[in-house]
This record gives sequence, structure tokens and C-alpha cells, in this order.
Amino acid sequence: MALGSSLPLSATPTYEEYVGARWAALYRTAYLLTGNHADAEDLAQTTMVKAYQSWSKVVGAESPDAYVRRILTNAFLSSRRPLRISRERLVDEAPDTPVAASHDHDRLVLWPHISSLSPRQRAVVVLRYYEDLSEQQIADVLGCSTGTVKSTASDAVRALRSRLTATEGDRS
Amino acid sequence: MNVEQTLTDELRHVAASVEAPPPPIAGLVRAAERARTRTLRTRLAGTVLVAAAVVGAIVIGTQVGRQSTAPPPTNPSPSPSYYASGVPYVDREGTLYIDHQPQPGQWSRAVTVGEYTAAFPRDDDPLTDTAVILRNGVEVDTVSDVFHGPEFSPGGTKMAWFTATLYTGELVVRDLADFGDVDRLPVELGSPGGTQPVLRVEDDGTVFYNTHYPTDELNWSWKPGGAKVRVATPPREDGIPNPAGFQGIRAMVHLSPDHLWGAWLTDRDGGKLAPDEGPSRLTVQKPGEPDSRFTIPVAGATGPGSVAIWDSPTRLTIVGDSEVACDIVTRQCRD
Repeated sequence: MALGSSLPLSATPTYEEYVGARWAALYRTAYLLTGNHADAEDLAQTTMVKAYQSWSKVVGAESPDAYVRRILTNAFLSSRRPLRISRERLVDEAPDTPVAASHDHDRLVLWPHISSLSPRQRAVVVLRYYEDLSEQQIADVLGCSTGTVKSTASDAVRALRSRLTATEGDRS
Repeated sequence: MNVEQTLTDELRHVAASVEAPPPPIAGLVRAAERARTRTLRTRLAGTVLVAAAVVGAIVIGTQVGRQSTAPPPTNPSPSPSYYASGVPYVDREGTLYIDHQPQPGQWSRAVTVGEYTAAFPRDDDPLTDTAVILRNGVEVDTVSDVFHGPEFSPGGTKMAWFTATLYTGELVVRDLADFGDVDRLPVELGSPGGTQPVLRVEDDGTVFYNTHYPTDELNWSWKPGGAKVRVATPPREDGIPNPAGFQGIRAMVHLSPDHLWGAWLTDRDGGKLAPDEGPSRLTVQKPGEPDSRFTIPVAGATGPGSVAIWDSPTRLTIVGDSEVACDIVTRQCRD
């Protein structure tokens, strides 16, 4: 369940109410961005600490979820980016998701390649294809133009398609 | 295959399969309040702490077993021989190695520049870190309440960091000769939803920083004892500072595992890549030694958005639409 479609909240939720209702959704989005539990937990916690610091603004925003999503995405894009890339490279194949290990691995043909995308591409992919945001909404989150969102999404899909083709070629 | 539909399906499938840990409400409140207390330099009303403690007592039990959600490591730890002797590192199990010897405790990461290393013990504070400073692997100092940093100057004479807070705080410059603070500067650290500050420090203590990624509206330089001065050029195109010894390089510089070389991707003429341009050359240089710089033609089209990733102290892979392996000893790249 994406952040914007999770449990309903009262008009002016308390911080504790908000965390209780949104934590799981926030964590899942963080997991899709980072690809592992440790970084997802760090990212989700950092996001909610920042949200607490400006809670009056969060709760007063037109969409508290959009506000928090923006904090989450910016925190992901700005934190330890080179380390994250190098760590993913060490993993070599899929991120350490229990899904791939315990479920029908063959169904997940694109997820193993998402870690190869740049952080910005991955953020656009998650916001567009998981959070189901419009290009304008993604542009608002990232603070860029819709044109940049389009080109970033296009590059990401092209890269994934290329890797998928390469993988299928290796198997055949 | 409809890639976009498959992408949607798989992301939803993975997300639905992720077991989120219980919300650590009390820990979040405590961390945020701690930061606020430091920021404002005021004593927090005791009632808030009491309330946080009460909430903590209620929910603390829900956090027991939180680690069980983390999957086991999926790949082996890097071989100690991967790193040059004298470069401390942290493996995937959280063990700090100095001279390839495991050290007690759990650690999150270690960052080395020249003789100095900042090693970060693991803790439960999502906002701030404590950094243990090592010189040639020997502990020489400890810095607490680190929000960002510390960064070391290229010659190893100064280090600088931001103290803990979110939106206001202090920039601290410390002398590595006597480990005394040279000066402190109150700073604004960003807007809500804004991000980590960026930072670099020169040997004379002059600091360059930018607290509003990714804009270039607030780039400053500050020499201890003086006033901060606005500067026009961000530390790097995307606001993240390059490692010491690579100031002025506008592309992202990637340090080799032993920190002896840095590498970045350029166009055919060694210039900045356009957003839709794939790299034509790999440029390699020792930190702070422009005369050591050389370039290697990138054979193969890796496409826009490619990144260079060190696989060993002498080999890299350029990852993009395709992968190209480069060797800085033979000075060749092959797809």
C-alpha cells in the first residue's frame, strides 16, 4: 500500500497517530528506494524525525503525505549516495530482498535490475510506478521540471529494458 | 513485455512482501527532541521528556525483535586484501578492521582521507552520529553529535563538521594538531524536506558549504575568525562535495578502495557530460596531484547516467546501458 493510499487519518492527526498510520507504508517505499531493510529503516526514521521537527507545517500542509514523501525522497537522494552505489555493486545481483529469496523468483524480472539505476532514476521509478504519482507531482517532489521527470523516467525504463534483454539473451 | 506494467506489478509485489518493523514512535520523538534541545540551547520542558519516556515505556516492547526483519547478508564480506594496509574499513557484519585486525564493537562505516579515518559506531540515533577519529589506525579523538561530517582537509591539518540539528546548528572547525576547536559558526541547515548539508574544508581551515541541496542559492565559504562569504559556485554540480584532493572537479569523483586514486567520467574532450550524453573518457588522478592525471578512452556505449564503480584498487566498471571494465594499470577499457 503506497503512502498516499494507506490508512485514513483525522483532519489534524497527532504525530503519534500519523506515524502509527503511515509507518508501514513509509517503510515499504523506503525499502523500494534503498533495496534493503537496514537502509530502509534509517531512511524512514530520518524522514519521520524531520517530520516531527516541522510537524505544524506537515499537518497544516494541503497534503501531509505529499509533504512527508518529499522529505523521504530528498533524504534518500542526498544521503550517502556514493556509498549506496558502491554497496549495491558489491551485492552484485539482486538487492537483499527476502521476496526474491522466498517467492517465485522468476516473476521478478525487473526488480533485480532496479538497483543498477541511479538514485534519481530509482526515485522517479518508485514515485511513478509504485506511488502512482503524476509527472507534475513527481516534479514537485523532486523540485525539477516535468520534462526532467519524463526524461529520467524514460532513461530508467530504457535501461531496465536493456538489462532485461541482456539477461534474457544470457539465458537463451 | 510491457515493461511499465511489469514494473508496476513487481514494485507492488515486493512492497507487499516487505514486513515493516513496528513504528519506533518513542525513539523518533526522543531523537527529534534531543536535536531540538541542542539546537535551541535551551532546556526542554521536563514534561515532554517525561511524556516521551512514558510513550517509550509503552511501545518499547514492540521494538524487541526488530532485527529479525533484516535478511541475512547475501554476499561475503570483502576480503581484507581488498584494502590497502593501513586503511580501516567496516565489513558487512559491522566489524571494524584496522590493519586487517577486527576491532570490538559494532560499526556502521569508516571513511578515510589520507592518514585520518572517521569511524562511526552503530547507535540507535537516527539523526546524529558519534565519530571516532583515527590517525593511521590509532584513536586520537572523538566527535559526538555529528549531523554531517567530519570532513578532513587535504593535508590533514583540519577537520570540520556540522553539529546535530536539522535546521540550525553549528559548523565546527577543529585543528588536528592539538584537537582544539578553531572556531564555531551558527548555521542554517536547510528547510523542511531539505537535505543534508555539504561540506569541504581546506588546510587553512576555510570551509565551503551548501545547505540547500540541490539549489545553489546558499553556497558559502567561511574562514574561522571571519564572517561567512557567499560564493557563486557550488562545491560540485549536484551540490555534493568531492573527496579531498579533487576540488574543482565538477563531475562525481569516485575514490578507489585504498583511496590512492580518484576517477570520474567525462566527454571526449575531458569536459562535463551533458545530461543526455554517455561518457567517452575515464579520467583518473591521485588526490591532490593533478600531474598524475590521465584519461582512458571508454570503449563501448554505456549511455547517459553511467557511473564508475571501483571493483578493486586498480579496476573499475562503468555501469550504464552496458558495462565496460577499465584497468588503470594497463590504461584500457573493454566492454
